[in-house]
Amino acid sequence: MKILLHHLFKQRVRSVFWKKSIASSILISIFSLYFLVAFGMMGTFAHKIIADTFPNKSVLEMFTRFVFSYYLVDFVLRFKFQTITSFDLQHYLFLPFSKKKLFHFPLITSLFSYFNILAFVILIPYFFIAVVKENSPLQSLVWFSYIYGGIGIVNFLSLAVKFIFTKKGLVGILLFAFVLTLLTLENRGVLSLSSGFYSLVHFAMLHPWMIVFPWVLLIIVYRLTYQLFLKNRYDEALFSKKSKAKRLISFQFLEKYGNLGHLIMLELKFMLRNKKTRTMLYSSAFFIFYGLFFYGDFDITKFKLIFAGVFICSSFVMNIGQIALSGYSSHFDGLMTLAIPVKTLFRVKYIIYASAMVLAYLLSTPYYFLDARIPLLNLAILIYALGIFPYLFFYVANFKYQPFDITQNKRFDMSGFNIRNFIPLIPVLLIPFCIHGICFLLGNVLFTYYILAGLGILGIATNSYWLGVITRKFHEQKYKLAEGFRSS
Amino acid sequence: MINIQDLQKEYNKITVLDIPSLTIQQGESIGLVGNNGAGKSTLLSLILDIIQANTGTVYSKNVAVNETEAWKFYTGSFLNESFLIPYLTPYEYLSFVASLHKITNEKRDAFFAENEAFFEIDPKAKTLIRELSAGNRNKIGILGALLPNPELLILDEPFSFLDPTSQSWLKETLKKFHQKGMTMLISSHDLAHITEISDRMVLLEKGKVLEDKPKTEETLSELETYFTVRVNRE
Repeated sequence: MKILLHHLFKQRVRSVFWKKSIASSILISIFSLYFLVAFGMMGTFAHKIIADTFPNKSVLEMFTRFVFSYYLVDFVLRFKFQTITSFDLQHYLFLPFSKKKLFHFPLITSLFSYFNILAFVILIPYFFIAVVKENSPLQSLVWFSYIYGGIGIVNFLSLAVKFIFTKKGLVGILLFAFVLTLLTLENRGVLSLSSGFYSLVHFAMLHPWMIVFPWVLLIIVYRLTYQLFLKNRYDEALFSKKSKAKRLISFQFLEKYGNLGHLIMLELKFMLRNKKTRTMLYSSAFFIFYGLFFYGDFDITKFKLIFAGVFICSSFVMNIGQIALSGYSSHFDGLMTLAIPVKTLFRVKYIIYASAMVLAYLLSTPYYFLDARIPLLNLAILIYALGIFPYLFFYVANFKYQPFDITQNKRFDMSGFNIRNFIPLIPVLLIPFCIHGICFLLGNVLFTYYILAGLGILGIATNSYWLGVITRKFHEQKYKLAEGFRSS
Repeated sequence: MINIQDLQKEYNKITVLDIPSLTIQQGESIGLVGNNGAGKSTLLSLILDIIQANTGTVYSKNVAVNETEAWKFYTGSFLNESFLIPYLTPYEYLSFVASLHKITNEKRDAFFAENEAFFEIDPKAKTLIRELSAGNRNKIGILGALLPNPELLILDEPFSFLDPTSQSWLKETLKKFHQKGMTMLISSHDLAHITEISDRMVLLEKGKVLEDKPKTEETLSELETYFTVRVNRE
């Protein structure tokens, strides 16, 4: 264990990450620190804030219930962002290490992840400021066991789900939807699981022997995660390539449409036959549920509606658009020499991106039942997105020289995740924000939607012009791209 | 067909290719030989416009290759695996290439049948190109380059990774295509094979054209002497 820790330390310190992107690592450190401080403050003042906001209720009850909702959100966030020590265990398998120890290592180190530290920072001040004062030491200990044990359970549960998710994309999406539904129900007061959780904790505080439950549950969840981890490792190392029965969708019907049909076919296969792109596809489908966060209290003048609309309609572009060219890095030379004019390549990409956005929009139309105006508002945003977003992402793609491996879906791998990825997002959100602000000052916020749709129509009408601009830039940049992609 | 002027390529300030002038006539079959690092692949990459020259220009049919994309439609090429699309099956890849050149399905299938001995194309096979062996990938690349029956064919070491049967098949096939008028520029380490299929030999050393002359009876032995003497010298 000690040796592994030592190696891990070395790996981190010697990592190219530090050399490559000092700017982004500084930025990330600042953000991390900011959240730590913010959460610490929250923990310190939680007692007072809750007492002020809900004067009639028990502070401990409200805090405990808040923690439960925090679990749910935390679960989703961890699922998306938590990284496990992706320390390559393969190198150690043949060395005289106990295999069991080896596989326990990444799980145990996951306990010291940033998420758990955040939770710790918020809980500890509250625990000493509020809980210890009002309860007996034993009761406090019971409370702490439940709350912090819960964090541990969320920690391993999210890892377990993550292991399952990379196998079956749909399960993950359904889980997301499930958590979102729970949160919505909680918010609307239809079904309050959090008060159930509080009742349990409260009951346990009165019967201190129940302190064992969270720990037993934690051990069970840990075992489960461990088993899944063990099973998957084995699976990937030994059987991934050979024994799988393959289903290849070949979209042969598109052959009828000649040249263009073949190119569209190629793009579809690109997305469906590579692990990484497939995961991107699934996760962009998830964003259709994004509206649930925002359509809670429907106020047509709020900017957040535009924000939600943008994510619903264009999450596909925001995901796959990030690798518009770098996704081709393994066969870029081929595409450069085959008889495909570059502009045609971009045109086909545009068609795919546009279809995906329209599809996402159509899938989001059931929001009609939350408020009948939503589909209409989103239609304006869709038109805006169609006329602006693909161009932006294509243009920025011309400057991304790093190769991107689409065949690997290393769990918790953030390679190719680059601060540059956010550049197109700035205008994507900033332009509507500014227009919204101006319209707000002029007194008619709804006018924003007309302007956005107008911009979109302009963008769609001048499609050929923009693709031309992008193609010219491509020809300037292609040698740099090709060189970058070769040096993997 | 191809006209090269003042072509220079540097990597990290070291000149790896320096060709003041080289012309390839329509219908010629040129064998490009030289040791590793002599600049063969660099030259081919420059002709295909996938790397940028420091100075000079490659003209294909009197048009600079970095100024148009017209050459893509009459040039078939295969330098290495990055020319293949890894997530397609061989059948899909070749059909894709065929569609780019608007080749009818009948003609495409006839091409598959003709070259069955080299690599059997099964439309129903589900093995992706990235799962094939290096030799088979090489075969797919060569077939992809030949399929559109291009005016100009550029191959980099096509004989590597091939079994002896496939090597002689490829030799005969290339000769056949050349007789029909295809211009060829092929690099190889296999002196016997390349001499047999070429009618002009270009020998590169450290980025410079050391020798450039029509093939004669003596060419093979001359080349063999050149390469063995080098060994003795070093």
